[in-house]
Amino acid sequence: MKNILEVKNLCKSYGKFDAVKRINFSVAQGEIFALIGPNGAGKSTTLKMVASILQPTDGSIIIDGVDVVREPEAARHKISYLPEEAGAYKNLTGRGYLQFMAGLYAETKADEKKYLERAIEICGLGRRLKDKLGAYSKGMTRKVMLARALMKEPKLAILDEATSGLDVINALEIRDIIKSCAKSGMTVLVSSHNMLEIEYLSDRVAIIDQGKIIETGSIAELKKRHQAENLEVVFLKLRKT
Amino acid sequence: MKKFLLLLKKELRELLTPQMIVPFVLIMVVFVVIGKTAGKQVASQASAQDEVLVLDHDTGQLSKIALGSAGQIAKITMAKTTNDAQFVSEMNKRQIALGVIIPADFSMSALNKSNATVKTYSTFKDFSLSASKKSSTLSSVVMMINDAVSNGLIQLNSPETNPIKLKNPVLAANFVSANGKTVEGSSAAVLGYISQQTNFVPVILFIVIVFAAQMIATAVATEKENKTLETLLSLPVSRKTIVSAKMIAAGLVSLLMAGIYMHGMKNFIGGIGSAATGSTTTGGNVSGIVYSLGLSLSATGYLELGVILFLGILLALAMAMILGAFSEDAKSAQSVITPLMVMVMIPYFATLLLDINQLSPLLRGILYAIPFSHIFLAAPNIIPGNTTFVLWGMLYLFVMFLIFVYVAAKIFSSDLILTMKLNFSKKKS
Repeated sequence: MKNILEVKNLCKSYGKFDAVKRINFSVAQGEIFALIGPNGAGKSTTLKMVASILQPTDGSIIIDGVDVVREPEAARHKISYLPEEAGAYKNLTGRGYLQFMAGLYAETKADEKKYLERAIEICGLGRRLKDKLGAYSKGMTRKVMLARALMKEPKLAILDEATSGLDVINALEIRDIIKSCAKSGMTVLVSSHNMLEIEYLSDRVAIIDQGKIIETGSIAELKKRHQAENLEVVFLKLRKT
Repeated sequence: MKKFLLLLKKELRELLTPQMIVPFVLIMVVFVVIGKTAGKQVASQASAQDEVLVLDHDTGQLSKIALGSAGQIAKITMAKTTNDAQFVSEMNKRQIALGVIIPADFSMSALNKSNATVKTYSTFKDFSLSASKKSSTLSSVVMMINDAVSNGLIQLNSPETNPIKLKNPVLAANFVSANGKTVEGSSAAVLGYISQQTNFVPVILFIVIVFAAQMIATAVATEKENKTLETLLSLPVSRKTIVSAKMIAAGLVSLLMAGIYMHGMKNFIGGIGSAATGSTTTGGNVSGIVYSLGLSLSATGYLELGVILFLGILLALAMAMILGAFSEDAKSAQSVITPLMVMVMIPYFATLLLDINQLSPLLRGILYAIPFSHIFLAAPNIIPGNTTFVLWGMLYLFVMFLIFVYVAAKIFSSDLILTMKLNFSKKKS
């Protein structure tokens, strides 16, 4: 299957500190690819570079044939990005926020309407969408943010810690939404430090630690390769070596 | 364009919150009410003469002449008491703030060519601006008494002499010249009038520029603080559109606030000004002279002032946007714009307190190098028709705006917008 995302020799340094050190990976169309690793491993920095909001120190990122570094504006038409701590404009209602975002994503009125309807369906908040975002719980806000990120069915959805801080029910709902989007052909790049969640969600993973990818493969491959019962054990074994 | 308008609407909605509008409008309403009340009070006081209680121990011809003359400018009420010690009590009882006691030897002293002493009394009930105007009535009464008595003495000694001509052998016909036109009038009155009409302009300019800078810096910092900036930057919208929507929204709100401020302050300063000077009765004559000399702001003048203010706001916005990018939250945004505030405060106070033309060339050069100086210097140069200076100022502001907006766009187009920060908190040990 065609690769939607290709990352080659990607580096990011802040002064003398190397946050990301020459990482390589690719994600095929319709795949859910996860970057997993502990806090500060370089997951979010990598995702931000793929989302074109941080500039790599070196390396290349190609999304559906578009070079993110050279043509960031063109790349932004192919992606949507959900930051780890995405905030909302609290004076807007849930619906108002989604409508505003649909307007920014869509080029035509018809698309805008389609995106809004899809977002309303994804977040499943019903009449609560008439309330202001400031009155939402963390779970509700995250659902609206996720709906915003998935409304336009991007070529590549970049989701940073999509279920961070959510209770079990909300986290499960969000995972199901992401899975159903991937089934319909959307490519998803996710990051998480919750390895068990990723085991449930993703097709392939890259384990990242101290800015380097230390292992890549499908969940089954990794478990078999390292004779581990879950990804957490795989990670711990890899760290010891 | 559609995306720009969407962002502009969003920015305006973020800026024009009830929490921001309500206190602002309330303050302005209070200013207008105070100004109008003070103005009305002065107008009513100007039409009504101040009352002066008089205790005349002399009752001679000269004291009658004196009181007749004083009656032209004040309402004279004769005291019931004949005792000096009870005079002030009577003033208080009859609620008359001003009093004059004419001594028994008043006429005699004057006729003997020695000084007669009248005692004047003022009772303070309040310390308002209109009270200070009232206190000047007593000085005028004494002046009128002096004038009348000296005229009486001159006529007594030399009946054929005209005392007015004798006391004023030289008369001055005052002319004021400006813009190639000469009109009869007093330069002090003209200067006072222009100052009263324009002294609120720098105050407005200062407030608006600082307000605009605070708004944009806070808007950028709030996006960071509320974690909305990363989402905004990842959208399929050009960074130039994001920057310009933010700047234009803040510019529009600043101009709106400027209009409200201008209206409120004009009423406030106009009312308070007339209360301080009691100039409501003479303002009409002086304004005619000012208009004849072309020293009032014409429609073109207001346009020039508007353009230079707009350029100043744009420059302040561009600079504040850069400074706002250094802040991590709305609170620190107030601190990071301090350098900009200083750049506005220096020309504000310099133009308010100093004669720029008397400064050394070095200091004048430094002042002119500060872009915001040209905004504060605009009105004093537009009024006498020094358009070239104003146009150069506009050009300078425009060039500086282009430079700073370029830098702002560069910052927003790079990851500096997310990584630049100034940390004001103490480092943890």
